[in-house]
Amino acid sequence: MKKQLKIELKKAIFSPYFLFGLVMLTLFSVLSAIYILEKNGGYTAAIKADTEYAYNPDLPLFSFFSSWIGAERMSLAYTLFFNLMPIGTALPFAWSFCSERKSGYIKNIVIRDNKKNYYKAKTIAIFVSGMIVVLIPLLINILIVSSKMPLYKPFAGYNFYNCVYFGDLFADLYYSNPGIYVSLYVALNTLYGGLFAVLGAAFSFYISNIFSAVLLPFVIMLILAYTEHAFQAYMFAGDIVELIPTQFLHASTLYANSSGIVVAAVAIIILTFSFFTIYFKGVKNEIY
Amino acid sequence: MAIEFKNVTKKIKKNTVINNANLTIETGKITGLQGINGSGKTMMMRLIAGLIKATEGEVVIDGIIIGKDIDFPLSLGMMLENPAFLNSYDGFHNLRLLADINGIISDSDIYESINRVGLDEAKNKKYKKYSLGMKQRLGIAAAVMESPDIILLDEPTNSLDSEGVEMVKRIVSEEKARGATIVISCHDTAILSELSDIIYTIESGKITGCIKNGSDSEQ
Repeated sequence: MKKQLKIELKKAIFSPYFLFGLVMLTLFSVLSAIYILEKNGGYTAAIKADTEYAYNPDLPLFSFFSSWIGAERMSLAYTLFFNLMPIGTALPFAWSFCSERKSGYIKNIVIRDNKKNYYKAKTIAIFVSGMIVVLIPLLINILIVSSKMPLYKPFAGYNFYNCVYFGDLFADLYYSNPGIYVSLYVALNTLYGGLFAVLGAAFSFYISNIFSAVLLPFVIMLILAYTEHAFQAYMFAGDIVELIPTQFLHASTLYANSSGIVVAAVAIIILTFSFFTIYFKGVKNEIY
Repeated sequence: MAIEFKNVTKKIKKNTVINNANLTIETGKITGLQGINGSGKTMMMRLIAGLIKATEGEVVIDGIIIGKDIDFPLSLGMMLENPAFLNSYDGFHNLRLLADINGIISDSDIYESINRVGLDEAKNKKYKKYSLGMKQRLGIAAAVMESPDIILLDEPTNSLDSEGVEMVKRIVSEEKARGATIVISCHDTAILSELSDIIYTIESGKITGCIKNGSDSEQ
């Protein structure tokens, strides 16, 4: 199992699809950083230049904590990053997983090890590759934005500008210890990167077309988001919570409050569905 | 390693692809499977390899029931239908990835396998740039590189030129001399007759005949 995992991780990291997913999401994260530095960086300089007051209360408005890709809500790049995350993560290794089964390459492996070990190693490798594809672009964005934007602690009185409201997931942390808040959201995004990747792989057991299987998580998220927003328009904002991962993974509120229970429940549903499908269907299915 | 089919029937949905097959493949011999397309030759190889399970009956290798006692034979090399490898890797690295799973052969053994199939000049070429014949050669190299006890070769001469066909004959003979049990299917009756110690004829999943050392017998 260890040997198999090592091989699968090596295949994942050196796959051209992995590179494609990584470059795509990194491009969005860098573009977001460039946009936000130009926009918020200018405001910060103007506020700093205003020396009328000993302390300008507007300073925390445009800090790193409201400008990194997880918090900014202005650029096209952040929208693309979060909405295309299911493709960027599923593409790298789910594609290779589907094509290995379709081409018959899997036969070469299972006769040398066994199906259980193969699927275990493959699932872990898919999960890890999905996590890396999200983690690296986020870290690059954080490095670029934090190199220019000040680390002012957000002011709770300005929650309207920060878009982290009372009742939001980790909201108290955002105003008391924003560094931990950002770290938690990076971890959450990384986790969901892995989940999207295994979800794409799991769909390949139900859909024979590789392209459709890899795209399906993205399409589902898109349809769910559209449906959710259509219904939310008729509801009182205080009663609703965000249900769609591509929306609640954003660290500042986009449409509705994010809830820890929903975030955990969706993760468990994706995890259970994906792992049971890959492991049990994979091990049970005959290989032709 | 003797392989026995004991009343083996394989059904896929409602189709019977192998129909009550009984045969014994002797250790260290070359057994040929002959039949038209869709007769069940590849299915028999898949049953031996443990890729599919018999609906009825048992496939037994040296007293061990495949799919019950173990999932796959312990020492098996095979090339079923079209060879399949990773496009972005070259020939050598494709073989090394597979060899790393068991870790029983070294890089020099892999190079030797590549040389045996005549791919020494293309060993660093990406698999996606291989011709059909080169892919077939790499498939054969993967099947024999770890000196397995059982070798399954399904249409090994497909896409090969005359030199390639001679290479297959040479490798099969060398593997037999080493003591491997070989099962081979081939549309070319002349090649199959030349290589095999015994040939089973399969029609619609049923073993209909057996030719052994020039003598002909019906089952």
